[in-house]
Amino acid sequence: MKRVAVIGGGIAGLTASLSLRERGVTSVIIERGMSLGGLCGELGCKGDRTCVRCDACLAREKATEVSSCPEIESIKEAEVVSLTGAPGDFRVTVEGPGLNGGRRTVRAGAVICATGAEPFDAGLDRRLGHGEVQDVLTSMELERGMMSTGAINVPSTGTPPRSVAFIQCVGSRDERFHAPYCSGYCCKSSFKQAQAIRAKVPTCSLAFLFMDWRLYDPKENVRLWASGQEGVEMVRSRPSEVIVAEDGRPEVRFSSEGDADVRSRAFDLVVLALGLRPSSGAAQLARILGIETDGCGFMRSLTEDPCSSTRAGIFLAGSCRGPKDILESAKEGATAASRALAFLEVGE
Amino acid sequence: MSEDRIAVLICSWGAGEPGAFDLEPLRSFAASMDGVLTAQLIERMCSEKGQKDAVKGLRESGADRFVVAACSPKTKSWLHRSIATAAGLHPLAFEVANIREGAAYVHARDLGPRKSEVIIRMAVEKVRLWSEPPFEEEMPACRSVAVVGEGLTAALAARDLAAQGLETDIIVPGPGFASPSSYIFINRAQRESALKVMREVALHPLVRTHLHTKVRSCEGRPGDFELILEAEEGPRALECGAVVLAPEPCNELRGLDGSLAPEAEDLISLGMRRIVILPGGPSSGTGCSCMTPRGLLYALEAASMTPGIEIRLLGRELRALGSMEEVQHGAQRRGVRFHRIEAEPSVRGQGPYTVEFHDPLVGACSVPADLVLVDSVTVPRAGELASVFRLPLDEKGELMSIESRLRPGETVRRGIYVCRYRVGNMIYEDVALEAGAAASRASELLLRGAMEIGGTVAEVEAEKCSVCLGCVRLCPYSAARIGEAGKAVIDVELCQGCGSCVSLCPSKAIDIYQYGEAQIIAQERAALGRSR
Repeated sequence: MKRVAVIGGGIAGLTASLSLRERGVTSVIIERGMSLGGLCGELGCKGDRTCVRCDACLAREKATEVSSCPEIESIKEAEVVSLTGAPGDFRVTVEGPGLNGGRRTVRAGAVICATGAEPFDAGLDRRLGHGEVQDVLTSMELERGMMSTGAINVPSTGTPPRSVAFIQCVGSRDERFHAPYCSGYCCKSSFKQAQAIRAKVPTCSLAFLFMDWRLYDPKENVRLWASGQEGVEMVRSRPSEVIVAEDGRPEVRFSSEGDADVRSRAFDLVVLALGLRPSSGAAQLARILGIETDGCGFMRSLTEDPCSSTRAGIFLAGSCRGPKDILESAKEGATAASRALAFLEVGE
Repeated sequence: MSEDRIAVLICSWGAGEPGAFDLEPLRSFAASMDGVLTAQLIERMCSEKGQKDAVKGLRESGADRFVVAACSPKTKSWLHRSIATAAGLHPLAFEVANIREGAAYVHARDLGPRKSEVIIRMAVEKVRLWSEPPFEEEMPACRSVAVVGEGLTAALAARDLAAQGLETDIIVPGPGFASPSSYIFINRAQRESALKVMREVALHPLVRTHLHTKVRSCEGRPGDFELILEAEEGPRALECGAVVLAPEPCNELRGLDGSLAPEAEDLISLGMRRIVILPGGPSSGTGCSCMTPRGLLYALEAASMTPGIEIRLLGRELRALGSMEEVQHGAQRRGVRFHRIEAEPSVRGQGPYTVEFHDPLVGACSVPADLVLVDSVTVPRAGELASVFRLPLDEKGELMSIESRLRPGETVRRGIYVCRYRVGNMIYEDVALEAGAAASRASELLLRGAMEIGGTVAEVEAEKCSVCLGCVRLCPYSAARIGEAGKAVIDVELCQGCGSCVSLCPSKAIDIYQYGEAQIIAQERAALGRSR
């Protein structure tokens, strides 16, 4: 049966469905939220006069394309509650407000799980002051602000910031929060947010508090960019805390390379670059699908084949199996579609 | 009154968005233009409902061409094509007037609407001269793929293609698949399974492996390429619908004398207790390069086999994405030392060596070393593949891709896909996904059955061509060449419609579909407010 159920309507799921459609396979996307696009649909374009290749438009474009395809059905505001049948002929039962409280069973030869990941809850790392110290924003809050108003303002004053600090690796590379992994995307994201801030507020000074820069694309050379800009500072440090300064602004305390002293500096705005964690429903969904998760709570993929889960007929794409950036997720969507199609070919 | 039948569809966007203004005056302006049958406001044309409204509007008006006044044509033209087709028109029978990025987003409230009027007027005058493309046809696709590569990447791509029922030819220059020594496997099981893929692919009934074979040329069009293969027994032709290029960089740890790094377990017996691994990978252009996962894995392996061994990794940043982070933790726990340095280190002596560097945390360092290793990378075949497949190289000497981020795996030549890799970071999982994505693109192209050729491409009027070779030299996509008739011709399947040759040609022999001289002049006149 040439039909695939795709769980999750983020960039990986959308790409998988579109890639299947190109090859004559119909699919049904089951999305928990109200709209398609997933986490990357919540991001705003960070380009100024030129594209900085943040890929944020990719999800919206693919979502539009999917909604205009008769070969792809999407069920929104619905979650998978059970999976019966056997590989090659699954029955996926979904339930939720999108079905007016009712249930529906979808038949599918294969399942692609593309449920994505969630940003780290900054409130868990209390020393960084999110929610307690004013003008400490998460990277996602900064995105939303940029998206809704098109401007960058300090929340407490409503004016553009004169100085911004980016604190990297919040909820990544941190065993205290069971996140021993690197989330990978946050270096790129902060770099592009910083460029967007400079484009809108050219006089704003920036400081990056980072552990390692992990940008691979030679065109995204943050060091080169920073060395050509005035007022951009690179501090290799993991800050110890963010407190309220005397003037009410957020004050970051950190030590840095080359001296052992603790430094303290107030900024107009502090941005916490959030890492990614497994999606909140991941454990339950894994139980329903009968697949395994890894030590961190992400879906486990086979050593030999990154897009295959531990169960036949169920494939994985995107950050449900570990943090990914937008482009990597899209590639996995296409690869998982190949795998699912190959599985259906054999099944027939 | 002219007899043109033009419709103008104006996409209306939310009041909250930047530069929004009242579109009704713009609509009535458009409706008043000569030959415009109807001008309509369509709420959010990229939504499902908006598309339906647009199709309905076109059908009811009886228009045979239309203007879309909306945002950038770059991102939404596929949508406009589908609207045109659904309304029973030619898929290219439209022109986009970008009144968002072009006017509303960049101008103050009063100027935005005025400029929008001009942009719409220009688009109407241009679409008035619209004609069907000289060639745009559906052609059947050949359901087989040629994979060009030497090892595991090629095998992985071939596995994916064959599993989807596509015949696959792997073209290997050497006597067999190269050993996957350039890859980074996180454990033995992964390495074993990779070797298994290479064995299985060779035995797959849909896969043919051509050893000792190179590709000499590639002619034809997407869906129907003809490769000329050069083998020991002489040249022969191979038909295929798509090509996947899977060149493999050679990435190994080598000593300063160029010899391969010894196996980690042999270090002690070789009397090597103090090891320094220098930064590898591409230099960032602003100082020292980075520590790579290859060095990291070697350090972990050596440290876990030999307690007491002293290993240092030098580099500007430590790159260990995702689960490689755990490898770093493991190495750290076993005593591997990491030095984050800004400037390149210097090495003195001939073994034992002295390595000098400046670590901001501990100051100037001078450490003795029995063995100094460096991550070496060579990408031997990019130039060769570029000339055979007529693909341009980028400034780094790698195969150039168009908007690689939006269309992973694509090259400038449709139907030819490339597996990319991160130099110095050939993690098996990443490579498997890269090969999977390229294979996926190839099968998307072929399993559809037929494909369109043509569209916005340049065409040479042979009578006017003075064979000055300007276009041949200039074309960034190698699409222009001198044909058999001794005049310039432009390969339809290579042309990207950039227009460089059109503006260069001193004989005005080249015109580009949709951007012909008559259309451009009509637009210019419209911009200046003159009538036809």
